[in-house]
Amino acid sequence: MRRLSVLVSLGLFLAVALASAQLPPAASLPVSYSIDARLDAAHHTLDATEVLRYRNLTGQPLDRLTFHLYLNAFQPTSTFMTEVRRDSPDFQWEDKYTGSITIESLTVSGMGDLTAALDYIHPDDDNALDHTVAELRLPHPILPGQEVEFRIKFRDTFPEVFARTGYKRDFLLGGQWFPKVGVFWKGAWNCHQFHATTEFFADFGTYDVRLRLPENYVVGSTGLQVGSTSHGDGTRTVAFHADAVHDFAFAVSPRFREVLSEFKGSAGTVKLRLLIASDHFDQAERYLSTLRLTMQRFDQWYGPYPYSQITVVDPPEGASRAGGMEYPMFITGGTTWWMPRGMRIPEVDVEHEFGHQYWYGMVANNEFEDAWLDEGINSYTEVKIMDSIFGPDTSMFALSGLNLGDAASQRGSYLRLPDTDPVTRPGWLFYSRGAYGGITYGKSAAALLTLEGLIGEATMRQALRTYFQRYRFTHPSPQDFFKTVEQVSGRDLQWFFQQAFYGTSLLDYEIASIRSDRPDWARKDATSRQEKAGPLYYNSTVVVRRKGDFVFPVDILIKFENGDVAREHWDGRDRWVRFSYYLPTKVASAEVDPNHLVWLDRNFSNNSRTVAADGSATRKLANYWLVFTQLLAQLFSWLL
Amino acid sequence: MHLKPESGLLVAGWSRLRQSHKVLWWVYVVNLVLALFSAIGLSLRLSRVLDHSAAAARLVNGMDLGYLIELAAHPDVQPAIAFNSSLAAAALFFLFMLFALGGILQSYARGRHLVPGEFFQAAGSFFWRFVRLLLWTFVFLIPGGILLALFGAVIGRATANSSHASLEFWLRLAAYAVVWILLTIVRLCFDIAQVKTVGEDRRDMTRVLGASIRLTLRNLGTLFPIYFGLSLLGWAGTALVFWCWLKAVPADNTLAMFLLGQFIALLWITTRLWQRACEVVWFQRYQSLQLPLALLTNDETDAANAIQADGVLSEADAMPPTVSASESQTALDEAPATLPQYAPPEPPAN
Repeated sequence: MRRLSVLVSLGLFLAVALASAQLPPAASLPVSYSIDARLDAAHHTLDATEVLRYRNLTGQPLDRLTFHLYLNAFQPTSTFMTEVRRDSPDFQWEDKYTGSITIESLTVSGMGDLTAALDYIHPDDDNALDHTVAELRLPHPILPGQEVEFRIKFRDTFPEVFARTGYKRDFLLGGQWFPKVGVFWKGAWNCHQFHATTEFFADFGTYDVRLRLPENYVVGSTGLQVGSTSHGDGTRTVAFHADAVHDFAFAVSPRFREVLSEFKGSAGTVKLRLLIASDHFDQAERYLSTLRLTMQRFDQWYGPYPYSQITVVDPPEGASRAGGMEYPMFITGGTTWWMPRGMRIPEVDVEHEFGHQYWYGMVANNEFEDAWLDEGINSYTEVKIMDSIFGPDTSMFALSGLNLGDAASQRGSYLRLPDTDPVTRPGWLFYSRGAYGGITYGKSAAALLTLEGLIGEATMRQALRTYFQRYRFTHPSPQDFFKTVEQVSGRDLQWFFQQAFYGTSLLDYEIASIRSDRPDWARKDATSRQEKAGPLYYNSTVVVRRKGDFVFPVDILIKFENGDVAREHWDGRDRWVRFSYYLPTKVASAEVDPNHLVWLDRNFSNNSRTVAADGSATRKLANYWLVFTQLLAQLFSWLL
Repeated sequence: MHLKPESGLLVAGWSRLRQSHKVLWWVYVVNLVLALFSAIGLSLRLSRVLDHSAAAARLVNGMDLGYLIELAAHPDVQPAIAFNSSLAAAALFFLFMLFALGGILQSYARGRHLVPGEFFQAAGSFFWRFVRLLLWTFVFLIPGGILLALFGAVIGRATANSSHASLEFWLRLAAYAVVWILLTIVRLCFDIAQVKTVGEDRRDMTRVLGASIRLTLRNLGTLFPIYFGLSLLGWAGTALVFWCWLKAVPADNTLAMFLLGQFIALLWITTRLWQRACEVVWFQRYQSLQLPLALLTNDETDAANAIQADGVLSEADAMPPTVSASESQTALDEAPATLPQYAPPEPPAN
């Protein structure tokens, strides 16, 4: 048994070593965390000791450090909860939402006990009651290149899952559960408070976590399991190790069912570990098949997944707020017991969250200030991958004659609040949570789809591939992305980026009018004269208008009654343009963006105009409304 | 051979429905016309956006939800107006049925089509009585609502910590089923009250309601299956039509969709009026068995003749009126609680 466990550990070590060939060396990373934690599953608390080794790679002396204490957001006076209440006035606080992280002691090698030197700060607002950021002033600075060890004892109290982290019955997801040092970025500490609309930002490092938990609990987490020791008292300690990641999360439940699979990528075989709630077990293959197809595309299109494992956790019923979330090497899905096949919620979830392994996990942008760099790019690649797997018109939903494509879904979310905020606005400064979601995800995806239409799909894919390869394991900013796209496409695209990402202008082109008139329209005997002279000629005009302030070059396709077509191109700078024709045929129809590439256009209905009316759609919808009203009336009369 | 009075009730009810089939068609036409007003308004607004746009094809060949959602948000479409006009149409239909109900029940009671004068006289005559009954309906619905809320709270609390994903769903479904059954019984009581009002030309609605509740509860075993069975027919028919709609009808065949939609609307009206007709037949049979035929009033003679036409009583049993309505009523109120067995008429000698 002992020999077997040695062999298993050796095998795991080799697997980690092989995969690590793709990963940056640990010595080049500023942090390493070693955490010993004990979970009290019954009381949803966790006691832990964290040893953080911080290596000063900033090039300047550091006399202070900042720490994220995210769990303190789950208190009614926090900035997070204040913002939730602001955007949802009906939200009622309940004690079960209480969560906290309490630092019991903090010692620093060579500096002694600095527990008292820890102060809460609020860099983003004036809320002195928000305790999600703490600053530690050091008695003497950490010199460049110097490594210092912080030993932090802390206690977590988990809330009932409200936003990402917490428990539901005997399930618990531990996310943002340990004191996490901020990032020294662009010459200063970047450590924002936890807001209702923000996520996370941290340095890459190594993680060694030993979690003691009830013996019968199944655990999934970031990294690889490297050991398990039973204590004989109903608990066991499970050890995990992860290289070159910037966060560590875990999930536990005695009811998880484990399903294993694998994916063979260009960096080697990746183990797929699915921990799924019993009631959802029949949907395991939905998760795994989509995950494999997603990994295949990411591998081919953008680059290899360098880790040896990915863990997928399916939260049980009632814990959906822990679902749809990404952590390095660990993602949460989401489904229900009744989810029909045509409703692709588990598929979209697993695709999107795996996509975050690239956009966030490896290309680790600042999610507070540049959320769209992961959410927006990931939403765009989600559209591409879901469309390639399930078809462009049915990638989100296909049931009972109704269908919905992912691109349309993204655009729909954008159109709800299209012009309140620029995409590049810091996450906590958006108009509302709805605006944040619609613009960060939806508008970004629509903008990137429009960009793809401009530079071509192959160029766009190459640009993203270059961006990933160049900036993985770093913290890029929006300019890094824009610069990469321009370099790969060989085009100056600042005019597009300024409007689409930094501005709030709306894009809307319409076919304003179509006319075909005879040149001799004023003569009363024109018909007989023309018929004698030969074929009838017409002066035709097509007027295209730019209704929005977003200037974008567009193609226009004009069809004539005799089957001829004319393709025009307009730079879109003026407010309107008129195309004129003198031909022996009338114009039958005109369409802006005939290839449907301009996803930012806010109104698809006015992109085309036909001379002949076709009331099929109107009649169909009116018929549905007629029957609905008839049945509604009969339901009312049930009261008689 | 002895038959139960409820035997052949469905057939007899159908027979009354057919005899007064113009009632059914008029109700359907009014239902259609009122709904058309709402649909036409929406149609006009939609045509401005869709009729000259190639984007409309996304709704004709299939139903693109993304475009449908965009359309709903279009400033020229304004679905809120359409919904309000649907509500208005539903309210108008409700008022129409409230007015027409007296005439409908009277035509079923007499077992023949009423001329317009008779119909509207009956409708007008019973209108305010039915308004008073309707007010009582709202009173009886309140406990139903309270019960629903109570079930919801209890089930929510009981299943909050359950690890069985579908437990809450099934418990709620069971609770809704229980409440639906209770509300259906309430509905039946009021149906019988309406039938009793028309059958006995009563004006004391509170007493009528009380007597109808007792009557319905005592004969629930007969009335509820009829009501439920016909409701089931309506739902099953609707499900079948929807299935055909999805599987067999091409997405761009609006005519077929229109016809199927109208079939559903007509099916719902038919089953509801069929329920009414069955209730009338049942009540008349019950009435005739409680009261010696010599005590029947004019209307009751018509009713007896109708019952005879159903084939339950023989021609010889039809008698001219000899007593007043109040004497007849007293006799009925003193009638035994349960419906006795009776012998069917002897078949003709040849």
